[in-house]
Amino acid sequence: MQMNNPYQQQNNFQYAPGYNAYQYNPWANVQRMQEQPQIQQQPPCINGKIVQDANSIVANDVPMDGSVALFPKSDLSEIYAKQWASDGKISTVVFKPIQNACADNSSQNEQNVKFGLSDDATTALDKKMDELLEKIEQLEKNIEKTSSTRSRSTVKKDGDA
Amino acid sequence: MNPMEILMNRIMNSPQIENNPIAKNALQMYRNGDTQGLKNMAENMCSERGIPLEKAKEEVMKLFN
Repeated sequence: MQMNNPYQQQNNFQYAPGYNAYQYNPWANVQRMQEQPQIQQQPPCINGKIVQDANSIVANDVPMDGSVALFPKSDLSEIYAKQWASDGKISTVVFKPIQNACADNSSQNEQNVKFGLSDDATTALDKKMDELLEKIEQLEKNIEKTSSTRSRSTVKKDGDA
Repeated sequence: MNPMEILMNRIMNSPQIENNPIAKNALQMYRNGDTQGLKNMAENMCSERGIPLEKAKEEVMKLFN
């Protein structure tokens, strides 16, 4: 004869460690979120390598997908940016460092370089300088002449007296 | 629009071609029938890679036996 004893039923549902299918776990959602593989966006990589000089760069070093490859010289005196152009040639841009001390005077130097490089300006200035020198020489000669004539006239006047 | 044009449009609009200036230009020249332009491009690419033109031609001809 079975008795309906509530205490016996309680004994049937014993705690079984490791079996928690029906137990509420407030951290389950958090754990699931942590377990999901995180898709990290990879930063865009830069193609290129450090080179001894420009001649050591070969065509295979430049990617043909149209992206730019950067080749810094080992002494950092130049950086070569190379890219396949649409006509099948490799275009190269050379970057050179500017020292901090020179950076302030860079704009002034650029103006000086431009002025010095323009041939028209230098020839025009040369002509003007030549003209001025000729005029100065003429003026000097005129002054010498006038001074000599004055001295002669004074000598004559003294002789007359 | 014939199938060839559909295929060409599909190739031209693919991101791999759109982002590649050489491939884009080559396809454009092929589309326009610019054989001289394609020849120049091939010659330029050979010279950049240091491949003699005759050798490149031989290699291509080998593909067709």
